[in-house]
Amino acid sequence: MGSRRAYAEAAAAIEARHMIPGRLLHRIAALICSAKSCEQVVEPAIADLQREQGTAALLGSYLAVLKVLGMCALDISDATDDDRRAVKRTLIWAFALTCATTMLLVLPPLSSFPEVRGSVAAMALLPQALPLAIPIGLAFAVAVGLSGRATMNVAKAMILAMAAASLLSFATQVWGMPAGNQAFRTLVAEIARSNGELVPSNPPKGPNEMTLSELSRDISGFAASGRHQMARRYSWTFHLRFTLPVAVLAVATFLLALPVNRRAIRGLVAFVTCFSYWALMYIGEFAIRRDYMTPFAGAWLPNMVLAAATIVALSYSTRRDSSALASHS
Amino acid sequence: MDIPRLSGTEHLILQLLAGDEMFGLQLVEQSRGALKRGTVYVTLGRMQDKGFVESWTEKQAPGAIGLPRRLYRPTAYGLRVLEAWEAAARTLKRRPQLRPAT
Repeated sequence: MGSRRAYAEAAAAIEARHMIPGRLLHRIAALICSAKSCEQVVEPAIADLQREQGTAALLGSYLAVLKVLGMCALDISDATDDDRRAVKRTLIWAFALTCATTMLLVLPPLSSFPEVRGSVAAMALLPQALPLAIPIGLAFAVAVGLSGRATMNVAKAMILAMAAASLLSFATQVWGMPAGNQAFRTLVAEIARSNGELVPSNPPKGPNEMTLSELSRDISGFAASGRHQMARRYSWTFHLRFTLPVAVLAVATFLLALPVNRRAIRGLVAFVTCFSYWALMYIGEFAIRRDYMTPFAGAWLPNMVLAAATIVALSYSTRRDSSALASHS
Repeated sequence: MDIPRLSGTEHLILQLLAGDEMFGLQLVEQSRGALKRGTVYVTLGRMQDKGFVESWTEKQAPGAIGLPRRLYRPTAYGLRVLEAWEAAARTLKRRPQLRPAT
């Protein structure tokens, strides 16, 4: 009898432990933060969270602990007010520029089909515009929002933001874009049918409307039937789904590493970088079509060129910093 | 001698703690929105490293669950830095008396 009671008490204690909010966050903190950060910064925040009552207050506490965790994991807990302002300003610029670029990319197809104007059509076009708008918006934001070279704390926070933007771009490319493009085509087809034109109600999917599994199925089918040109074209589209999200990191990291302080020049470099990326993308596509390059190499060409440029920019600024230090001493 | 740097947030925390020892959440409440939950502990940790504040965990009742909360109070050094900054601010606020040239 006594042992059963002891077991029940132990089980209740385990259950109670599992009911305490913030236990998982505490474990994550132990994995990703230093012992000192855990004790001084994360644990007091979790202790507050465990005493909160009500959903809204608890939610606010969770968000606060997540922010604290992020700062400790990135080791930016010594960030100054200037660092925080720089990150905030750059993120606001990135958001505004991404929205503006998305609008610019959505408007031309909408104006080409005046019959399908409306919020539904605009929503269907958003996923194809976002993967291009995100790297452009972030590139100009890094160039204009950060006045001069970023401190280590700002660079770490910006790389985290770029990684999040890259994930958003990937999700949009893989799930949002095929569905959005097909919805827009169906909308256009419906209007054409209502005007008496002979078009199928559900138009066949092109490579940009296919999911990754559909693309890979068609690539294998084309290769097996000897239609190598089509297989290469579809392969390029397949790899583009991965290269464009990485472009967010490639373009913005290059601009972050840029050893230039003047805003106007940084803005100009951002423009040249985006244009060069676009040009390299089409050089890659051309090379794939002519069989000068494999689809993998052609699709990854712009990212590889930018990665090389980032390494050159970083090594140049490191060399410049060390020579400046040597001349001071 | 240079006065150690004190950011606006650090200044506010020292002002609030000068009255009484507090938990982080109490500081957020007392600041009426000036301090944020996401940054108060990061700032307190930094202030502890600089020697402006000291902290200890509260004693929990037997059987209490959850992590113990951390209490903060200013160090003697932190209070001296606060006084020095407030004296400097008072001096800067005093405008020179402009007299017409005779």
